[in-house]
Amino acid sequence: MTSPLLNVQNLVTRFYSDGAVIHAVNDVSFSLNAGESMAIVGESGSGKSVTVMSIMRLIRHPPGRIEGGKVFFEGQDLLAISEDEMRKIRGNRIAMIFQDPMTSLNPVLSIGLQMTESIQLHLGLSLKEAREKAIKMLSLVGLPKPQERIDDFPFQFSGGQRQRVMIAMALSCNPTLLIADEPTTALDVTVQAQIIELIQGLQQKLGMAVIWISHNLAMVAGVVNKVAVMYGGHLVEQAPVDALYEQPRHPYTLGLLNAIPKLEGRAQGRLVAIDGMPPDLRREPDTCPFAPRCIYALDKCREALPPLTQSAPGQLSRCWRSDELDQIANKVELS
Amino acid sequence: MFNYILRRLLVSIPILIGITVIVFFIASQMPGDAVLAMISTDTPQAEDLVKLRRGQLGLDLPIYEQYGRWVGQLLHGNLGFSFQSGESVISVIAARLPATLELMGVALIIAIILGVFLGVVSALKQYSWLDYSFTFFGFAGISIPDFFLGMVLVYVFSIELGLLPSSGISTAGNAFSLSDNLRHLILPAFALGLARTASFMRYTRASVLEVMNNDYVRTARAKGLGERLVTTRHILRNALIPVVTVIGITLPTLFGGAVIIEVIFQWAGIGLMFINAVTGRDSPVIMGYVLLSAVIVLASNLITDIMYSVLDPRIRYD
Amino acid sequence: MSSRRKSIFAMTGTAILATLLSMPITSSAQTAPGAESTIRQAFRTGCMAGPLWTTCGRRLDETVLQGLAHVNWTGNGVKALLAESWSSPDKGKTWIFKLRNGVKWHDGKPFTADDVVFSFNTYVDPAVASIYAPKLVDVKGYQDFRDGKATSLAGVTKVDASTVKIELVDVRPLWVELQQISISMLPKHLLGSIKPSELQQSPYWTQARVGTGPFKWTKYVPDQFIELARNDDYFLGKPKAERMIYRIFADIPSIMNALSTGEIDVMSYEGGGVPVSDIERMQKVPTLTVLPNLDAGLPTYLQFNFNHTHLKDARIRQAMVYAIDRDKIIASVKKGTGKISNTMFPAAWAQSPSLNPYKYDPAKAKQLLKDAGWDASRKVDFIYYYADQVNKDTVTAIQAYLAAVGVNIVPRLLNPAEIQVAYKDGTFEMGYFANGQGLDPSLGALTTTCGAQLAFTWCNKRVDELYNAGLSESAREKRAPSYQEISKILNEEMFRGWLWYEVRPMAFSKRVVGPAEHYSQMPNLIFDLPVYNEVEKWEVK
Repeated sequence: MTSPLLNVQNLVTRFYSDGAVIHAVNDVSFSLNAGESMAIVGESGSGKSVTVMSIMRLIRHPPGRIEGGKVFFEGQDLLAISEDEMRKIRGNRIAMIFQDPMTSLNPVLSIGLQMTESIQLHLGLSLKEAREKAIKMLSLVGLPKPQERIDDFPFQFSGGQRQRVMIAMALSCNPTLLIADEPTTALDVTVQAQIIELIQGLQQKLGMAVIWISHNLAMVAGVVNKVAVMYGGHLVEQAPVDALYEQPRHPYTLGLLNAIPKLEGRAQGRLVAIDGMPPDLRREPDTCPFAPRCIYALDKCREALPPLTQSAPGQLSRCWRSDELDQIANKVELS
Repeated sequence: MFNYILRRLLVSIPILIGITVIVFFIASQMPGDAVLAMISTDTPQAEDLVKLRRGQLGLDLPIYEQYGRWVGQLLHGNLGFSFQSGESVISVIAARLPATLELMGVALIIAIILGVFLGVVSALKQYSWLDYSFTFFGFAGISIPDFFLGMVLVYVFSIELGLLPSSGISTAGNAFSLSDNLRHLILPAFALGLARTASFMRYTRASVLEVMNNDYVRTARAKGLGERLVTTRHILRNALIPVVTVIGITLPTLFGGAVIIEVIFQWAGIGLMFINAVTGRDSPVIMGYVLLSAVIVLASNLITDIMYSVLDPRIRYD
Repeated sequence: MSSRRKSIFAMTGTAILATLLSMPITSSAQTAPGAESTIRQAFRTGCMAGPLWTTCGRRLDETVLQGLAHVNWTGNGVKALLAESWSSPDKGKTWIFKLRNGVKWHDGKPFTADDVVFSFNTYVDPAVASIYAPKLVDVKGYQDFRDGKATSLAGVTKVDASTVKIELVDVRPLWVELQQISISMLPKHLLGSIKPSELQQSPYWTQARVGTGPFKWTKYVPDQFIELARNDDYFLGKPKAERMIYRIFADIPSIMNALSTGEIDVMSYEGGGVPVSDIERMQKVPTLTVLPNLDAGLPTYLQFNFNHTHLKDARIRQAMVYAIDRDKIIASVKKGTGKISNTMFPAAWAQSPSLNPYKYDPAKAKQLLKDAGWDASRKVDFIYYYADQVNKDTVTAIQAYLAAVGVNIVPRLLNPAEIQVAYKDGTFEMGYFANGQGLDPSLGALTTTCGAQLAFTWCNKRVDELYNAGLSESAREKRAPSYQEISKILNEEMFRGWLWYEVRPMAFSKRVVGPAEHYSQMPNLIFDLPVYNEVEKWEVK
């Protein structure tokens, strides 16, 4: 097997503010092969955005700092190279699109300029050539009449169109990895599906790997090969998407799946929410982060952090009771 | 855009009329008048003289008639004649306007360059000792009155250290030389510009801080752009837009401040002319100054608004 | 902030700083030593209109435009300038002036009797509205000209190209010394063709004021300076200085600054001298000569409005002056600037040798008030308008002293325009004022003669008689007794509560020899008249 395109090992990122330490990312590891797609899911504050920002080395210091781990991309450890070298990779080999295209695009520059500036920077093309490439990308993402609209400003586009522009901008240098941080959250429901389809199509056409960040497991399930679940700054479960659905091995994942409204089955039942409050990231990460809310929690969970154990190839979970989860879960359900 | 400019120009006319009417009325209510300021009542037969002179100057007419005469003259391109010196107001102003423009211009340039630069540095290095000291300087600059600063500068640099002249535009009687003029310009331009510097600095800092944390800055970095490009094209290009507006709004205060500074430094510009005219109740000169400054303020407001729309494509006038 | 940007800014800043500092750093190095000598005087704004209309432009006018004879700086008599000599065949009702020969205007044209006739008529012409017209009130035909019944002064006639005859309405032995000294000669060939009502608008006053004096007009830069160049053909001899510059200032602090940094040599005294608070500072400047006690000829006094009966008793007025410790006020509040006065005339020769000094005596004051039946509960309306701190403190001190003996004044600060109104309407009871007495005691008649508005109904026929007697003689010894008697009457009756004579401190640069010497010889500063100050002899060391 060829080495993975991206190999994150034991990533640790902390934030320092007002004397407090926030453990945003604790010992996160995962890998991704070329052309593969994965999702990182979790609630707000789980550390998923910080994780990918750490990969991109876009963590601002102050207040944040990547404190440990390695991030191997195309063979080199991104955490070890210089900032100049990292800049050559950002926007070029690894691209990122963000949640809100209105605020993520510079309102006073034309989209053409915003696209050509990175094309010229990374590919060394002349302005004329860069514009042609930009126009090509815009039509690739399905924007009508790109040569007329290339000098327009972001406010002249609709939400969905803006996201397409962002995608075109991100892909214009032909990256091998695309990170999509909640790309559809700010869009209308009808548009969301279009964007997801677009990204998926482009992924296959261009053969790049994609990391999807989302708090909506259901949305990304149909699109990715594997899923990583994060909670409280920890990676709590990782599995191929089908295996995750069929056999969740972490109580949080179980809770997420149960919370998904189902159209068939017990439609008349109430939504099953997960009780409790989100974790306090200022606490030392030496116990299971989910224990306070976990209905299966034991004393052991509150005393020590469970290690990441592999239950099957490509299936990892961080729970003392991951092996017995399917039994105790059914028992609880039936009761 | 053309329609917009036209509309603005048309709206300016009633504004100017209103300003001139109000100022004319207020000025006429000042106790004493131009003639009494020139002739003391100790002089024997002062009463006849006063009457005679007032008749000559048209001060015995009712106010609205005096205003009407002034407007009539204005429409013929004539601003009248100074009560004090007899010269035509236009030549009185024209002789002194360049000095004021020089002073205001240099002060504004100093304020913009220094203010924006310090504000940007302060914001980019937020919470550093640099930021704290610049912020302190900003507060001090806004709090210290222009005239006080002017007097302190004269005291330190002119009287105590003897480095720079204490007043005037140039060394009296010498042929004009640029370096001599600049030496006289330094202190007043700084006194006038420093307060503005502090204000621009605060606005720039606030604006840059706000823009710095915007998502599109993150996007720019994510595209791999270098810090310099991120700072100039993405941060400053957005952050400086409101600063342009602030600069435009500051112009009237620059006018007012110029009056004070010109008096302290005996800078022979229209501000000094205005103060002398007020003291001497020289109504034609007062009105000429008011009209001129009103026009300049309105023009600068219009230009600022136009610039705003040029810089920010989201702003479009129709 | 990238380091490249920072370094660009730093380099630019350093470059600018270096350029500025490399310029010559002393501001006083304005004339290369020995290359030329320029005298720089201070001049006040608003004094540019010219001798027909302005009261404060004399220091400029006396060097460019001249009269037939100017007052000597010693205050004693006049110096013959454009007139070589004059005589009166009838003891002062007719005056024959012989003009100096060979005098040329600065543009080369000859000065003749035509200019003299033209000048006198211009001053009186109602269309010109000169404020000095009243100085010629004694000239025959003055009233007809003013009323429009005549188009010129009947009493001024040209006898020949260098002789002018002036006829007065009555005998005035001192007409030359006291009246005509305000009049300057103007060039008929330049101004004669201008319509009199438009005379003030003529560019002559701002661009080329052609005169006959030791310096000629070169340039006027508005609000900045007036430049004069030496008149090599001056009839009293070529002036020593090559140039004279009048730098225009709007206020006194800038003049003080410019003096101490060496940017000017001579200050102006119209509108104020060295402020009391600055005297010490100026004395410390090694390049300046300070004259702290120049008499301004300005008696300061308590003004009484005699319309009010409770002020009519002389004992009350005397009591008030006894009640005030004038020495103390002068020493403390006024920091020694001032001389006690006990009568109106500042000139020593006009003062009676036996004036009552009114030494500070509050007990005596109380006694006098009791004798006059003063009601201590009465509040007296007291107006003043000098708004600077020293004068405000003085009024406060006066209030305290008067209160101590039972006179309660209620001070009211008015601005100059309101003061004019108060004068006219007489809406006050007492006031604190100073009034310039001018050159000659006869000018005191303006405020003391019966019926004068500023006398506020005070009237003493004997005083009026004495004034007339004083003007009927021309020799000072003959006139002195009249004025001395007036001074005694004013001292005893306390028509005004005499307080002190103001001084106007002045400072001069040691660089110029002449100004300080001449000013220190003035018995009191001469306002509102051109003075013969030997300007042509002032030289730069």
